[in-house]
Amino acid sequence: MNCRECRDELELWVGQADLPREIAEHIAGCAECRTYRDELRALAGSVAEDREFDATKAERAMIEAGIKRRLNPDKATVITPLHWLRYAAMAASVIIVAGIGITGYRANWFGHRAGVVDTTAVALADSQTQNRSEIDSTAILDDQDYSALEQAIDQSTQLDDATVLDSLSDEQIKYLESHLDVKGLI
Amino acid sequence: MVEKEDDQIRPLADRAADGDRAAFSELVKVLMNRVVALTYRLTGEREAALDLTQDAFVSAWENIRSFRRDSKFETWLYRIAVNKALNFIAHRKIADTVELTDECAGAVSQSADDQLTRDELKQRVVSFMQSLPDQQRAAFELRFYRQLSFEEIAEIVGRGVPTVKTNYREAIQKLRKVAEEEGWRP
Ligand SMILES: [Zn+2]
Repeated sequence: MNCRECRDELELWVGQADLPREIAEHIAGCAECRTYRDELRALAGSVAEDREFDATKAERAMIEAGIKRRLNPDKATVITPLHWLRYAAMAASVIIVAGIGITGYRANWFGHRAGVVDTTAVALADSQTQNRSEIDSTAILDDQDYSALEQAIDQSTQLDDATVLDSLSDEQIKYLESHLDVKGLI
Repeated sequence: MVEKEDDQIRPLADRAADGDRAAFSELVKVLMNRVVALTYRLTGEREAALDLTQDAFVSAWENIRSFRRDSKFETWLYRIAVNKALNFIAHRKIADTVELTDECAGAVSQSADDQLTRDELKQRVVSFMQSLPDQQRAAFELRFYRQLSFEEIAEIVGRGVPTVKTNYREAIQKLRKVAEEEGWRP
């Protein structure tokens, strides 16, 4: 194997842990090709697999729910699991504390996504009884909001997890996750 | 590490091939991150990657009978995922009016002199991937990140081994050039 062949081959092994014996032998006796090997190694290091490309927990949940729904279309309508309500509840509480209020919350965050608004409504109701010490949403919600909430609670029992997850954008999921992390819920 | 994972995948794949849905769900959990990362780097779009991952697993289950037990489940799954990603890209090219290359160029031109942060580097890796022609991008993803042999890659993308090697070498040469020009450091 000459130097030209060795370098051509080396390029094919960028990122691999072991080199074929032929290349390894050439490199052992050739300083120039060894330098090239080191250069390629550094290059590989700069683009090495980054764990941040992994799916987040919410993304994983969304994918799994989507697969489940598509493989079991008849079982799609189930009551939204509690854990997701808690996600939404925590996000809702943060936003309420920030003073945006439920109307702004609907408009800014979930806008036309009726399903998510419904779920959030349940979560809000839930958060009012569960986390009263942390959240004072009564200051923001008026009677109309409450009746809308009650309606939404009835409707939301028709929603399945996948529908809720499907209607969230990446940004929303990231937001929920970051706040949940802070609260130690996930 | 890779061997251990294969040990984990093999029995699950055998059970899934027998129609065991629980085993298939386990496979989804084990392989999901890899498929998300793969489709993300191939498309450069997070949301598309999540959809394609879901599609790939649904297809895999629907076609589980065509999985041959003497082949690697991972390779078989990647072929489905890569085909879906390349299809997606082909349709995007026809349909999309947004110039993706412009976005990438924008991301790359920032902060040339300082040491890159992890986020910047990650963004540049995605941009670099998007700058490659489809076949080079697929070869780079499958070889560098998924650590597959050229024979396996050839099977996945449906090309000959020499072609796949050429694609990989060209991708590496471009990477060298970009990394040098932009001063990437590990
Ligand atoms: Zn040499």
